Order: sequence, then C-alpha cells, then structure tokens
Amino acid sequence: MKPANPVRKEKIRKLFEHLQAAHRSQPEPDAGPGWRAGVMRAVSRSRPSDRPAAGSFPLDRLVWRTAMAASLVACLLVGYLLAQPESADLVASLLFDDPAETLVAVLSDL
Amino acid sequence: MAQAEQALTDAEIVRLVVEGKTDAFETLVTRHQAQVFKIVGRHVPRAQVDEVAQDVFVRAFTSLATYSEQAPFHHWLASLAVRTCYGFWREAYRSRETPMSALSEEGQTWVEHVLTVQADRSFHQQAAAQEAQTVLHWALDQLSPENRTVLTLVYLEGLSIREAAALLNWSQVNVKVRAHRARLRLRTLLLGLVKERGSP
Repeated sequence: MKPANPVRKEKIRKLFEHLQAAHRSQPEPDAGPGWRAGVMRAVSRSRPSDRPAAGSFPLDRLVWRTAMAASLVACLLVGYLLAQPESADLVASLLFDDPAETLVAVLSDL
Repeated sequence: MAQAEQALTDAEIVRLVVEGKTDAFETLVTRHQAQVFKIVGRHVPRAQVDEVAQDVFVRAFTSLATYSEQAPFHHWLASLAVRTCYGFWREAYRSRETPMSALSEEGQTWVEHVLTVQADRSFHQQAAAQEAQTVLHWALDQLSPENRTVLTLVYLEGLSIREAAALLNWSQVNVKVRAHRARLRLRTLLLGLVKERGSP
C-alpha cells in the first residue's frame, strides 16, 4: 500500500525518522547488582550440550553439503540421457520396465 | 575472576569452560555483559532485559561447544543475543492473551506535534520524549516477531541485509523479503496515524 499523496508521504517519512531517532535514544540498560551471580547460578544448574566440539564436522552439515552435488550429478545424468537419440526408448523403458534394471544397463553402457 | 584468566583470549577461555572449568565462564560474562545488555536493551522491554540477557549467557554456556573459533567470540555472542530476543518475541506473541492495544492519547498527541513542527530544531527532544517510545513500541507491537526483529535490525539500527542475515543466521534473501514486508507494514501503520490526524 503506497501513499499516493506526496504531503502524506513526507509526513510518514518524518514520523519514521523520529521513530528511528527514538529507538537510538533509548537509554542503555546496565546489569543490576547480583545479576552476574544470578547468571553463574543459572549456568551451574545447566549442563553444556553434547553437541560436537568446535572444529569437528557434524553429520547433518555433511548431508546438506553433498545434497547439492548429488542433485547436480542427477541433473547432468538426466540431461545426458535425454540428449541421446534413443531417449524415447529409454523413457518408455524406465516407465514400463524395471527402472533400476534399466538404469544399471544404461550406466554400464556409459 | 581469576587473575590468570584475565590474560587469556576469549577462545582460550571457551576451551577451558568446554573442558569443564565452569567458573572461567564468569570472565566471559564480565567481558561481554555490556555488549549483551546493549543488544537486548534495543530489542525487548526494559523490564525483561535482565532476564533475557541472562538467557543469552545460559544459552551461550550450554552451546559453547558449537562455537567455532573462525569468528570472534563477540560476533557469535551477538548473534545468539539477537536470536534470543527473537525467541522472546515469538514466545510473547504465542502466549499473548489480550488483543493488541490502540495507541494511547499521549502517543497520538505526540504524532500530531511531530507532524506540525516545521523546523527540525526540536528533533532530538521529540525523539527522546517518552511519547516517542510509546508510539515506537506500539508500532513494533503490531508486527510479527520476524518482521519486528528484521525491522529493528535493518531500519532502526541501520545494519545491512548481510549483517542482519549473519546475526539471525537466516539467508540474505529471507531478510530482504522480511525487511521489505516489515517496512510496508510499518508504512501502513504510520499512514493510519497520519489519516487519523485529518491530513489531506
């Protein structure tokens, strides 16, 4: 929704600038006395998570990183197969025969 | 705080804490509490700052093993602080029982005053006024937690899309789209205020 009226637009700009300044002029809060001790009490009650330590390579990240490469390879393979003169036969074979058997046969021909 | 720990870098203290020396974490709290209070103070109401800042450090402690030394510790902590504030608003919106309030009479008077003042001479006095904070918080309360957080970072704090995305651990495209939507929503809200004041 755009303000069509330039006067109104100017007023909105002015209001926004004031709100921006209001945000920046908020006083910075300080930690009260005993706050740090409270943090340390809370910390001593909690336990560090068992997540992998810094520097190690988590499995989920490995999966996501290889997912893109796997997709790319799959796209290239499909493109290559469709570019073949006998691709119509291949598609028919994939649809009506055993797809796994067909793929194995095609890949062994590459 | 132990004298020996004061001389250590943040990364070295992190290693000590991860190895089980929990007390060393206090050095990190002392070093970075001002930074965390500054961030949290800009995102959540004053009454909740202490509690949310404490949550930031507890979350930092429990996930300290995930800290990668490739980035400075204060960057990692700043990101955690912003995401904790975002979590605070998500929780607050989820448990919200009362409908969103209308802008108070004082807030509306402030809007009228801002719009009628010709010179920018009193700009800072206007911005510092309590009413300005009332209008600001009223406007932010109308936004979703996502839009609120992005609007605060990008338009109120002046961070770039890339910086905001890094803090939130979101994609830049997501932040860009959110920022655009949030700005549109805010503009609609302000337009409503301007119309209420009977402008042409």
